Amino acid sequence: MPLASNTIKGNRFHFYVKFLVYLTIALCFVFLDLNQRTFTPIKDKLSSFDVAVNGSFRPFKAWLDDFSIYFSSKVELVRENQKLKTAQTYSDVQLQKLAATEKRLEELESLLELREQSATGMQAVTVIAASDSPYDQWLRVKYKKNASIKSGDYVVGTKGLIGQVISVEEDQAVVRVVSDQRASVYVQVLRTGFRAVVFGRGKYNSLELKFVPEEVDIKVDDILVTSGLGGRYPYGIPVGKVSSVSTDLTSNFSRILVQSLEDPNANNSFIALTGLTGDDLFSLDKLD
Amino acid sequence: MSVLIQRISNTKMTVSIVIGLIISSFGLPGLSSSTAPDCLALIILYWAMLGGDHGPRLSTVFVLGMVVDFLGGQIVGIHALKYLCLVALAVQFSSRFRMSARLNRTVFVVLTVLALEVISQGLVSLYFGASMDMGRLVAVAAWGMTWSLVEFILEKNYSRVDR
Repeated sequence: MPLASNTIKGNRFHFYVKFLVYLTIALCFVFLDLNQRTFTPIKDKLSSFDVAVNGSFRPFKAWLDDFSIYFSSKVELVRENQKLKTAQTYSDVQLQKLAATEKRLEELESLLELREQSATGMQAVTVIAASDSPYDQWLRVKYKKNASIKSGDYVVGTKGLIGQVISVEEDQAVVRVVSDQRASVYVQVLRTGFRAVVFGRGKYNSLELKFVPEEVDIKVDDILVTSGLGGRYPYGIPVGKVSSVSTDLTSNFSRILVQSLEDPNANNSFIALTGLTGDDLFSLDKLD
Repeated sequence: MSVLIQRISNTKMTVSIVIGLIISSFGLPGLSSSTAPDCLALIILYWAMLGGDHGPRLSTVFVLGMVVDFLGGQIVGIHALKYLCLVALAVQFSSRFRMSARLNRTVFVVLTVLALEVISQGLVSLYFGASMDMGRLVAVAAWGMTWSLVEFILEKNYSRVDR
């Protein structure tokens, strides 16, 4: 009786003999094909079959090709889209820069016009820093050395009052914006001539006209200008426009909110009024 | 440690070999002949590794290789040679292969198909005095790396009733 290991060995031997036989046949075929071209006629005949098979599969192949082209073109489109988006972002930035430059140019032209109306007692200033606190609103401005700017001078923009100089250095000054909680300006209602004091509320561009009795005739959209009391500061600089008038039941005074006409954050260049100027410095027609 | 499923379905083996034969002979759309996969080689290797005595016979493999060569218009006998070597290697290493991890099996397959491609290309290159097609070698290695996918497809039980 043969042992199992002998059987396995016998099977293996049988397998490798067969393998060698087939390997030899395959090598012979390779040699014949390479040297004698024995199988070339058969291959030529079969190539027609290949063509036929390929022809029958052509629609499927074409569909698969279209499928792959669809995805490759989609990838290309996504890439192109990305490039266009980048270019558009760049263009948007350039456009915004252009718009900002144009606006600044207009502001500078307006300031120049303002200065031409009264050549004396004015000094151009440029904002170099601003407060980032909502409760403490100031601007640090820079100006030409030896300019005669002093504490208390008004700083104005093209539309009206910005604030008041509170401290001066060699070529810099700190300007307290009118909307600062500690700021107050003597104003006059342009329509009625009523004089009062406007205070900053510590909020963006928001002022309040305080201690105005309820009987006083003040309406929404009334323009407030500097009163010029004391003779040091000019009369007629627009300060703000009344935005709401309401009655406070707990006191005898009206609650009058005023919106500042000039936005200190909108521009970088302003004018400091270092002396008395003419009343017609600001054309009130432009305010609206 | 991973062990391949031992059950062999003749139908599945036949169907997979026919599909592999079609792909290897006629290629795949969008792929040139130099980068097209030799799916039949991977399928034969799988069944030879897994099947043992029930795997594809040497005669069958030989005929399949000849068919691929004739239909593909290639040097007759070159695929037969390759498939015979694959089956011989599979018979030699099947036990160890089945007991090894999936990564090891993939590495083994990649090295095997690459070595066989180098040998077959080397034979032709020696005869013609031409250099080897490196792109084809890279493609063969890349397709060898899909071994896990081949295992997954062929291992899966497609019958509705689990027998």
